Amino acid sequence: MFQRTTAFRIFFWLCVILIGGFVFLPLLWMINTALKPTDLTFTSYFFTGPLTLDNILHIVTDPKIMTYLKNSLWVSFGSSFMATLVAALAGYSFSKFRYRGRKFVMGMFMMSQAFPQAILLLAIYAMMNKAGLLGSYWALIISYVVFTLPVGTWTLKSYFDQIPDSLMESAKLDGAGNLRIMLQIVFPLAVPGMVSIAIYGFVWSWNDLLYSMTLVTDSARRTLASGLVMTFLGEASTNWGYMMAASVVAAIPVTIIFVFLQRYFIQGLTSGAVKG
Amino acid sequence: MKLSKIFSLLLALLLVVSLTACGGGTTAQTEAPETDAAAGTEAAQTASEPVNIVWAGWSGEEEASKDIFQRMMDTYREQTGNEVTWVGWTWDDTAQQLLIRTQGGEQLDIAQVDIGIFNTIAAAGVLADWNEVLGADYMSETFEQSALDVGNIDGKQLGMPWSMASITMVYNPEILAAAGWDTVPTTIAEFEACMADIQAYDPEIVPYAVSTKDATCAGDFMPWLWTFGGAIFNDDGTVAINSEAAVECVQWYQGLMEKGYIAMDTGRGEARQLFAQGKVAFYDDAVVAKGQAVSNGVAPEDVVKVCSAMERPVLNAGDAPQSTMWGHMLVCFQDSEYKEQAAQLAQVLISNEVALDYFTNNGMPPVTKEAAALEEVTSDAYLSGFMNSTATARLEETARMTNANEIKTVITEELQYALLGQKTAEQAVADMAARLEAL
Repeated sequence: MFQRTTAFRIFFWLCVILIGGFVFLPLLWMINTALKPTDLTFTSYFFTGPLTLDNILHIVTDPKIMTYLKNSLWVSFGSSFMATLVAALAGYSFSKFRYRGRKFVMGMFMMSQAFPQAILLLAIYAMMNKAGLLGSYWALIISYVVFTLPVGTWTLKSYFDQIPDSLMESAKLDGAGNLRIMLQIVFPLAVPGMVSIAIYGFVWSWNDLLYSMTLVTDSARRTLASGLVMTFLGEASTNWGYMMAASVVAAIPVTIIFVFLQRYFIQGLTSGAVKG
Repeated sequence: MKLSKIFSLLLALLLVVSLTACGGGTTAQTEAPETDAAAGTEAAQTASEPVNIVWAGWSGEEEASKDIFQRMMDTYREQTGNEVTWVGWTWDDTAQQLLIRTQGGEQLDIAQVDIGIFNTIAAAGVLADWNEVLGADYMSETFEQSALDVGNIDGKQLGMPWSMASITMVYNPEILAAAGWDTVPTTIAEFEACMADIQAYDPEIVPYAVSTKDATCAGDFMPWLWTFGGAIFNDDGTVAINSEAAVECVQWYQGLMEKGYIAMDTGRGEARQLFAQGKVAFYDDAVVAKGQAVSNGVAPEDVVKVCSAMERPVLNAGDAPQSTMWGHMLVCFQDSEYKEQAAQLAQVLISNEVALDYFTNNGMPPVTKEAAALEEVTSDAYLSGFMNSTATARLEETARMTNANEIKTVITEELQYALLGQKTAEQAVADMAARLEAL
């Protein structure tokens, strides 16, 4: 009943505007700055003064930025795919099999989230160095898989928990092997969960700056986040117009992916929450 | 049940294999340095074959100096036959990345470091003593003692001066002239009068873009604090900021804010950008200010017309103008197998030809006795303003402290409280002192 009152509606819309302001104002300001002519970058008008596409055009026609974009796509898709695959296998194992040490390993997965990523950097750097992977995309992909795995595994385990064991037993009675059950029966039912983990992994990889700047130092292999910072943030000068334009361009792939797959993302993340 | 166990083992195996498979693909890019490094180890023993050294820093990444750094490396390759690989990050990230690289055991032979991060790197105990690498005689013959002192910690010459001057005040002569000032203000009273005239000439111009945020805020505050006769610390390291001089200095800042001469939310980056657009009359900067002007299309020889250095105004006529030391140094790493080759690169970088190229195109002043005495350097109007201030420049009080960032954060936050009117000058200074003592 309370939801229908005028007071509630006013309160509701005030909250929406307030939270929306917090979320969207920085993004709109970024677009606003990207569209301002360079000499007006530091003026305070908000879409009401002169606007230009010069900064955006400069970015999309800059081969160096396009190389960073391509690198980011490679790394993000690669790490996202691998993280989803490994998380699915691990989550399936945790959910459907009982073996010694299972709970301990699950706990370790969860505990790994407790460490700040910056602290793990030194260890990962030394490991990548020993493995001869420093400077390669693989160093980034493996790191991103490591960071996506705990959340991915637990999310997918919750998802697999919801799939009744009776379904698998029926398949067994029909003569299906474990591999077939996993690949043809369980995994297809878990596609929304896998998609949500893939998106999570993709966004994580796409936005990372610390690892991409540290593990890859060859400018031809840099990803977008580190490439933009290196290109536009200098000791003596910062080109905010280009920086913001590049950020707008960088946000486009993630936005597109999220818009098309958000249904799966929300479904995948909330599915485990309603498990009885 | 047994089948389940076998299957779970297979899954675990698949997990391991998938990770191993992705780890197995080493790219050509990463293999090359290893090959070079291996070749270099042998070469170091025979001292005959070329080696590949790694040089790190930030300026080689920046548009304003990227080409110059390429020329530097080309010169080294031509003169020595060795290879040099540049590894760069942003200026902000260099200290952290250098430490990660040294701790991670990756090859690192020589690096460019800023005075501000030098102490952090030196405190990690990873730097070699240039006196041992090149000889104390070479160092003292090549550099002035005052320059060497900046890179000397506990008797060890851990930093080789590469480019040194001061962070002092920079002004736009065209704006000052338009506001009726043909000479720069020399006292604080004149400075305030000048800012009032600039504001009257064009209210859109920020008279003085002193830094009021990030790490540069405390850096700008220090020389003003000295100007008022204050200090953050005593010689024995105890906190000295709770003084009348500090209160006067903060009150002066508050006065400038009230009159609209300075602005909140201004960092060095914003100041440079606005200055380059002719919207700021004064701000604090180092010689790298030239790079911003050149990037904005000003010819190197014309920079002085729109961007000149001046001595910081003093409280009373006759006082010594205050400024902080600024500079870049070259450091060599203890674990480097190629210290000799790294030293060769350092010698190329400080050679007259290379130093002049860097100076002419980027404004970086050479520091060797020989190069500093060259006609091109001594007659440079842009540089002379900085060098005048350098005569009385001091290292930031936090320069030798391992918790410099924490100290600067405290100073910045308390100054911001005062500027925003949330604390009186007395309260802000007292809180600064209390917080610094608690560190």
